Amino acid sequence: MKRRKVIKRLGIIIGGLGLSYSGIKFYNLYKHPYFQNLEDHKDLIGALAETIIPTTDSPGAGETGTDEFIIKMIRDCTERKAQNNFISGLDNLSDYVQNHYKKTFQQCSLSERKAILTHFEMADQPNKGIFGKAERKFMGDPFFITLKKYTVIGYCTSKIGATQALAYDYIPGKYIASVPLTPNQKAWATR
Amino acid sequence: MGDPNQTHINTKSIDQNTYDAIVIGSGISGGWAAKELCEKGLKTLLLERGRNVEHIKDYQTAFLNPWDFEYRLQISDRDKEENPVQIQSGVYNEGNRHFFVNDKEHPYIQTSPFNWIRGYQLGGRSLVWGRQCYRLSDLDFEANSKESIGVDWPIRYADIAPWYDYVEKFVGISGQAEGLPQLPDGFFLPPMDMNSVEKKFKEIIQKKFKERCVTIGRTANLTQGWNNRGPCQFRNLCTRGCPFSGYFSSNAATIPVAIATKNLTIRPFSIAVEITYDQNSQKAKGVRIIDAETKKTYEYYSRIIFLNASTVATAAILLQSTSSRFPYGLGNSSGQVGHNLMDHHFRVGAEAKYEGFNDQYYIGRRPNGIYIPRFRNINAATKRNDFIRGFGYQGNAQREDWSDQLSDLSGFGEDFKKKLTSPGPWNMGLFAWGETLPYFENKITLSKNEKDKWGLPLVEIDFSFRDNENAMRKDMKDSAAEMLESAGFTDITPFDYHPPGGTCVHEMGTVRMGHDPKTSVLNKWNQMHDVKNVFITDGSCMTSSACQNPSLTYMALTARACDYVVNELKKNNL
Repeated sequence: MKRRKVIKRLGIIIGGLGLSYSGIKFYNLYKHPYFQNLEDHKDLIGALAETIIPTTDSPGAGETGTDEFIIKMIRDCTERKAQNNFISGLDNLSDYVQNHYKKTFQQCSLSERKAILTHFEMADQPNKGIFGKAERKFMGDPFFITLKKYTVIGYCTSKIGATQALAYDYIPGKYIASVPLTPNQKAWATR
Repeated sequence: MGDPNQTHINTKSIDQNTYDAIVIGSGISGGWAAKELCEKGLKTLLLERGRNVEHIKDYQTAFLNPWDFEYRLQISDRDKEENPVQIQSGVYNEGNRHFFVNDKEHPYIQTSPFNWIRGYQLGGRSLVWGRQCYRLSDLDFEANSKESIGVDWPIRYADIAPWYDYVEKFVGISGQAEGLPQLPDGFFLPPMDMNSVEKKFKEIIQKKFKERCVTIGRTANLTQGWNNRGPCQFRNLCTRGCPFSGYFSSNAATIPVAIATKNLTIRPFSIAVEITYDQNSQKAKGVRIIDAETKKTYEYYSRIIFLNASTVATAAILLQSTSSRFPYGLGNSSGQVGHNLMDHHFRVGAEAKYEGFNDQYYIGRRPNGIYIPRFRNINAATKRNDFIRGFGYQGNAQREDWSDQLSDLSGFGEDFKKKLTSPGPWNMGLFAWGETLPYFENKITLSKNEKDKWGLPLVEIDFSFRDNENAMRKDMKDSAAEMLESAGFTDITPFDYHPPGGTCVHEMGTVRMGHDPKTSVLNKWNQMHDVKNVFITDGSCMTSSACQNPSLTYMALTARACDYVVNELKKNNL
C-alpha cells in the first residue's frame, strides 16, 4: 500500500512538471481499466490462446473456453497495473498486426501468427536479475507474460485440458511412489 | 464483564442450562475434551462460536473438479479484499475458503504484523490443519529449565508418553519408527512410501551426516481403515473436508464418538463472552455467551469447564472474565495471561532440481512429505554457538508439472504444449520449521476502545521474532542448501520469505503451564492454579514451542487432563 502511495505521489510530482512521458505512463498503469476492451477482443484472445496451446492429438486452448477464463481472470484476479498492461497490450497487438499484415490476427496464417507472438514474447521478455524483478514489481506484469500465464492455467484446469492433454486422476485410491514412465506419458493434471 | 444487574434468577432455566461439563471450542483439542468427557459419562455442552459443519454432508466442495471453480482455485481480488489475512495462510483457496473466517467480519488489531488465521465453525481448524503429528521429547520438556528461559515445563516425557499412545491409537497416524531420542516413536499405521528421488536423498544424507535422519512424514492420514474411518484415497484435497474420513478432524473422529454417547449437546453460534466466577466456592460457575445470530445473551453452568478456544481467543476470553477477585482476567494472578505468545517460524529453506530418474513417476497424490527431525543442539556434538534450540524440515520431491513450468517455459505452439503436458524434471524442496522462544513482550491484550459487532473488545496482538530465531533462520536456509548440494541436486535456490508471526498457524503459550502459580497460569494437569475447575488444553498451555507440529501434544494433554478431572470428581476434589 505504501509503495503504491509513493508511486502515486511520484506521478503527481512528475505530472506537475507538465505531462511528461512518465506521467502518462503512470496514469496508464493506474487508471481504471477499460474492461469493455476485453469483450471487444474476445475472439483475438481465443486465437492467441489457441496459438500458444494449439490443437494437436488433443484439443487446443481455443476449444476450452480459455478466452472466457482469461477475461474473467483479468477482471477479477489481476492487479491494476497488469490489468492495464494487458488491456493496452491487446490494442498494441491489433495495431501491430494491422500495420504489418493489413489484417486481423485471426485472419493471419499460422506462420504469421507465430511470427507475431515471437515478436511480442521478445518485447515483453522480463529483464534478468534484480533489475528485472524490480521493474516487474514497479511496472506490473507485461502483456505477454499475463496472456501466457492465464492461457496455461485456463487450459490445464479445463475439463478438456486436464482429462485429454494431461492425466486427471479423480480418486487415485492409492499411492505408488515409483512407477516406470510409459511412452508418451502425460503429466498429472493436479497434485 | 459480570453484569451486577442480573439478579432475577430463574431456577428452572438454571436447571435447563446446567451440565456436568462445558467445553468452549470444538477444534482439535475441544473435540478431544468433548469425546473424553462424554465417554466418561459427563453430560457435556460443547460451545462453538461458528456454524455447525456436519461431517461429509457439509463438505460441499469435496467432489468438485478444478474446472468446477469459477477462478479455478486462484486467489481473486475479492479474496484479497475481504480476507487479506486468511489468504496469507497459503492454505486458503476457493475449495476451502468457507472454513476460514471473513477478515472483515472478524477484525483484530495488529500492533505489529501477526496473521491470525481462524476457522469459526464446528471442528474449527481441525478441518484444514496440516495433519503432521510429532511427539515432543525430554529435549523439549527440559530445555527451559536447563537454559533458564521462561518457566520450566511442569511435566516430562514420561508424564505424557502414555497419553500420546492413547490418542495416536484413536487418531490413526501413519509413520515410520526411527528410534530417535529427540523425536520419540509412537503407535504408527503403515508409513507412506518415499518416491525415487526422496529415497536417494535419504540414502545420501544419512550416509554423509551422522546426526540426520530422513523419514517419511508422520501424518494423521489413514493408510488403512481405522475406527470406521478411511482409508485415505490420496486425492490430496484434505482441506475441503474428507468424504472418505481419510484424515483426522473433530468432525470426522472425536465429535461423532461424543455424540454416540448421547451425553453431548452442541451449541453452535455461541460466542463465549466470559467464564463466570463464584466468590463463595472460588470456582468457575459457568459460561456466558452471546448468540452470534440473535445477539442474545445466555448463561450455562457446569462443575467443570474446558477452555479450548485456541491460543489467542482463549487468552482473550480469560481477559474478558473479570471479577473483583480477578480484576485482570480469570485466573490471572500471575499476570501471564496473554503473554509469551509463540508461533513457529518457517518459510525458509531451499529448493533444487535433480537430474536423473527421468524414467520414474508416481501414481496418486500423497498428502504428506518427508521429515528431517531436529539435528541441532541435540547433544554436545551438535551444539551451536549462534542459537539455542532447533528446527526440523518438511519437504518433498516431485516432477515438475504445468504449474511449475508456467514461469520459465519459453515459447509457444506444439513443442511448448508437449513440454507443458509431459512430466518435467524432478525438483525437491526443504522447508524448515523452527522453535520460537517464549518472550513476555509477545502478547495479546484487549483493546480499550474498539469493539466487534457483538460489542466484545478487539484483540490486539504484538509479536515479533527475535535474535535467536533470526540466527536460527540463517542455519535453516544454509543447511537446506547444503544438504541438497551434497545429495547431488543442481540449480539450488535458498529462500527466506520472513513471514510475520501467526502465518504458521501454530500459536502457543498465552496461558502457560508451570509449577509456580506466581509465574504460570496452569499446573501440570492443565488446571488453572487459581480456579480449580477450569482446564485449558489448547495451544495456549504450551510452556515452550519446541519445533514439532504441536497438535498431537494438545490432543494428548487434553485426554490426560480429562482423565485427571474424572478421577478428581470421583474423589470429590472438584
